[in-house]
Amino acid sequence: MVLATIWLIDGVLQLQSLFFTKSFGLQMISGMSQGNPSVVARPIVLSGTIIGHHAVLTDAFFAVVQTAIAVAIAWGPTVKVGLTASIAWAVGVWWVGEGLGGVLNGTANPVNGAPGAVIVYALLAVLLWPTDRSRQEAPFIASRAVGASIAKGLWLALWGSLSYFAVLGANRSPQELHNLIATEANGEPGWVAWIDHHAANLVDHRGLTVTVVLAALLLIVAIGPYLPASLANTTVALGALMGLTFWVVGENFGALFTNGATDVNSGPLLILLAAAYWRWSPSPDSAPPTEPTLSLAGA
Amino acid sequence: MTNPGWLNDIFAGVMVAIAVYSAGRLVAAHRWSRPTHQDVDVAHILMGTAMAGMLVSGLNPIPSGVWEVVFSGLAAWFIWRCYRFVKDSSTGFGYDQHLHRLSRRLIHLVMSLAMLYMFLAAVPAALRSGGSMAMGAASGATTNFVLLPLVFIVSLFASAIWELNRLGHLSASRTPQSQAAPAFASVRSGSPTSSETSNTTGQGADKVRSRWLAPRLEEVSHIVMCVTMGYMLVLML
Repeated sequence: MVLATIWLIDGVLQLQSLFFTKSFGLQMISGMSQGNPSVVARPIVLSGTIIGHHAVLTDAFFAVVQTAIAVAIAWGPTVKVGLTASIAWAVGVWWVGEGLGGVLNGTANPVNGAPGAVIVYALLAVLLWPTDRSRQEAPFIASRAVGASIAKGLWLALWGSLSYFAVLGANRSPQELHNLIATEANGEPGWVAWIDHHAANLVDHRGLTVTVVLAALLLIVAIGPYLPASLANTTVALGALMGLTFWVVGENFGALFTNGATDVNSGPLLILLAAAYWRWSPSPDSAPPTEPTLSLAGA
Repeated sequence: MTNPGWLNDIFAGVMVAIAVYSAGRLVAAHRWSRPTHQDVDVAHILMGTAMAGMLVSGLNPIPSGVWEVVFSGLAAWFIWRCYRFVKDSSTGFGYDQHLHRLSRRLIHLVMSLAMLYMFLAAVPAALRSGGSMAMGAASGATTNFVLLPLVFIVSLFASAIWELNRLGHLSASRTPQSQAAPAFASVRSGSPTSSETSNTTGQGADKVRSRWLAPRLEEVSHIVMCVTMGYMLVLML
């Protein structure tokens, strides 16, 4: 249900006035093509042009699709349809709307949401696929649909890639992190800008050190599920905390207060993902497991 | 920058429909002696009318100052209902989730506060634009309270999704019409009776549900209202 709620928020965010204008397609979408290989960039520019010239129609369509995904996931009988649509839509948006999250043009940085929130939507839809597997067979919710080994592998791939992106190219420079956070303050309410300015000052001229520490922490989170249960939960909690930190500092609450956000960004998704990897009964001699009350996907 | 007029017109039309439907529920419940959430129906009438007026200023029947008093009173009412529910845990717990969930009162408290916020935040903008109550971004001091509408938005959408998920269960658990009306006369007035507290399980709950006036339509009204309110709050972020 949390995933459905986030999709509903996205659907309604799409109804903001900015997205009914040409600039959404011609500037925001087309701008995602910059620095990407032509095979990736061309469909982005084409889509941006079409969206720009039919702004009202396409934006209304996007809002309806995302709201429909939310409804389908929440409504019991259609949960699989909703999750399938969630995967397909997320992959499409990741390409066209986010330019593959800056993965191919070297601008990806986990602090401001790379490799893109929507790819985590797709990952969650796979992991939260309804299944009959019981808690005894699956140590954590994310392992129910695909099994523990694949679920652990997907976690490793995601957090490992975040660790890699943290020290990628210009992200290592002394001022890059400072500039990234300071720039995010533009257009934000006073108190959000205040957080950004203070965070930016903290990392001023310490970019390399901070990114190396950040990459190390992300790597620890990545290998967390392979550790014994109690340690695994600690690393999963660390992952959730990092997701929260990214969301507040680097992502400015998904830039929701700037009237230009199309989604909540990756922070809440990373927290939700961490919840799906939490081992609810780490001790083997604990009470017999019961059906979980936490419903992440839907019915 | 403003949203397309047709979009606001659609949402306003839906809100008017829900206000009219909720008024109809009260009349039907009274005529057919069927139980309903009287306070929730009244809240839906007030909120539907007020939101329609905010979305399309021509539909606003009364000044915003009056609305502020109305929604302050409504919020106070739901605080009182929550307090009574928590204080007297024997009232309603385990009897019928649909009838007596604390969450139902809490979310209507949140909705009342959200309405109050929207009026308080919209008034400065309305004064600047010549008195129109049409929606726009929050202004002045309210821009520093953007976390509050965000909390409202998340609560409203989570409630909408929660209720949507419950709709199927509500449908599946319905039983054939039966004779359960007399015990629920006071439920309509929002005050649980001793019979509610004594008859607390299984069959009694099924009987209540079977007598309940169009529960799924009530849930749908609630869901649509949450989404519309969330939409308006998003525009004010």
